[in-house]
Amino acid sequence: MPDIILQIKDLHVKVGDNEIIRGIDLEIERGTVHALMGPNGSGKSTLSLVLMGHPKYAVTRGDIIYQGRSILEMAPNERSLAGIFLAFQYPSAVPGVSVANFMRNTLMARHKGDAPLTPAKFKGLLDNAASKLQIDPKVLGRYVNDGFSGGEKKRLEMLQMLVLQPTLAVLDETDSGLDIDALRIIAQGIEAQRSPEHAILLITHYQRILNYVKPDKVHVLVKGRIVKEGGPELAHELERTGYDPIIKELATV
Amino acid sequence: MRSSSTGSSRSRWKDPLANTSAAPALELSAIEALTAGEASWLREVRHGALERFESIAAPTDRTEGWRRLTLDGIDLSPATSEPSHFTLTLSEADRKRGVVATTIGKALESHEPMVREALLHARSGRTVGKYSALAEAAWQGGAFVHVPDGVEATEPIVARVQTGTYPRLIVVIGKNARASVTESHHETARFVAGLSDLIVGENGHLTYAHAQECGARTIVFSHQHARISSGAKLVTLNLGAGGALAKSDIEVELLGRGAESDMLGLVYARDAQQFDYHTLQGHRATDTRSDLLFKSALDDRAHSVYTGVIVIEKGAQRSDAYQANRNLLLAEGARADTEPKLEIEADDVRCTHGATVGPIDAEQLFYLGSRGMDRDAASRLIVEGFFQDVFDKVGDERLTRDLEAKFAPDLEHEG
Repeated sequence: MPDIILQIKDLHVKVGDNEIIRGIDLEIERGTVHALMGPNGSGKSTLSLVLMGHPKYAVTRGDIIYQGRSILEMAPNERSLAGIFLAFQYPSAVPGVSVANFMRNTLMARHKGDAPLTPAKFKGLLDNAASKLQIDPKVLGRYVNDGFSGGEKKRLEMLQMLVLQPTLAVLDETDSGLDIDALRIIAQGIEAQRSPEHAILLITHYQRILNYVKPDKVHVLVKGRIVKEGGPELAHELERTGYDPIIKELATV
Repeated sequence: MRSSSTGSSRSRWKDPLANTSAAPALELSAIEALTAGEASWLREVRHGALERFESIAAPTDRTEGWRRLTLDGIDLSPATSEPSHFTLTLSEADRKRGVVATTIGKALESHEPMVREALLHARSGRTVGKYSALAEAAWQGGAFVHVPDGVEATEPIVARVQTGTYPRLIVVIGKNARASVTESHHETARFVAGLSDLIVGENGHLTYAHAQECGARTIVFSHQHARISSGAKLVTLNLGAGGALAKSDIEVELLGRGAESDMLGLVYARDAQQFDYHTLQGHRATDTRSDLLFKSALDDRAHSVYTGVIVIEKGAQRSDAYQANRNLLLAEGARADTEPKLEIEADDVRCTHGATVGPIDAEQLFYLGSRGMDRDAASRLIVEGFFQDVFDKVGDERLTRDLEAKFAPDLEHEG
């Protein structure tokens, strides 16, 4: 029996009076990479933020089960400590807080009561992740996302993922706005995270990243519902045809 | 918000311990006793100041400059004058270079013209300053720091005050001289009113930090007055953490062509603490530059008032002035008032200002939360970051290193 990490059941989500997620069912097994694709406004980012527990979104129906238990009542930091990670599409800047200091604090949150990480170990962990992503060590002294380019922000999200080693990583359009070299580096980061212990939900608008990271399963989200599912070949089909045929097909049903 | 903080602060002031030292009002005879044996010019200064103090009506919550504060249960009666003892730290190497750190009493013998110059020009005259007038009349003890022309003090000079009621520090930086000076206050008396006189000679450079860490029940007045000569630069950092009510006037006068001043301030306030900062950026010569950044982080029911005046006099063409006040509210009961004032009489100037008051950004909190930090840890880190650019702007790591650590916000008490 496969080890289910994440189980989304009949999920409905509202912002104010606006229903954005309108009944999603999704299962992700340990050791797999799932791609969630869809046009703009389909609810992809909303789903990622709901998984992390953003207070703006209200779950009106259904459930999110992570490793056997519902996480709907859990605060974002509890979800993080339980092993869920979100690579933000638009991460906040934290002026005055260096990347190294920020990472020290993320690790301190995990080592409550335990012996703290030695400075040498911490530095090793950070430097190792930075080199995998070809991040200049100077960046570790800069303030988190403060004046970072789009590409630098995405790499910093990946750096955090590699340091924190989450059980479930949700990557929200981590591939968008990148040139081909940056895309390749991000893909290497995702491959470094991929392991029999981890699960990854890769949210993307374009098929491009999937040339580098082969998903086990592809889901297509349109207007808050998953309308099509398949293997990696589905992504290639979408690359050829775009989302229009699927949207039209839906309209005729 | 206003009324709720009043109610809770009142109960705090009724703490019996707070009232044990209901000090008698300062008497003229006490000033007379102080001046016995002093030079006549100094006696005149003290008497003039006492007259000023008495001619200014006691503040109420309707008095300009006090209206935004909560004065219920706050005892503003003057304390008796207790001598202030400064602990002065000066490296042996700098002492050998001719740097002086001593009491004002001794300096009145060894550096009389300098002390006199400082004491005769202790204020811009633009601030009402009832309690600074009182301090000018009643100071006792006090310290004098002097860096002679062309000398660079290599280590920060530290002046630390633990006791006393009317502390006074005079800093005189000579021409082409350079120094870093930290003045730190740890008094716990009911009432403290201090004076700091900063004088920077031509092309001199002074980095000055004023750390106020007085007792939680202390009423703290501080008056700082700086006179900057041509080509000279003053960088000031005011740190406010202690006191029940802390009211500071910080005046910088740019008197010579090309004089510069960076004025930085940080307040971390909690419980029902009240901080009131009034700043003056006085441009009185051509090509002068001033840059001000005051930030406060306010927790619980704390309250901060900031009033900043930029004055550019008629002859002060090509002046460049900037002023920013940023306030971060960490609790619903906290509040901040901010008020810029510009008086510009020259026509070829650059002058901008900005102010913000707001809570911690919810998206920032969510971002830090998504990385495992609970609300307290996230707030603490955000406040640390909020303060950091002020420390960065000081540009003197030797000076700020200790202050940064001491000023790291402690939000652990939050529920």
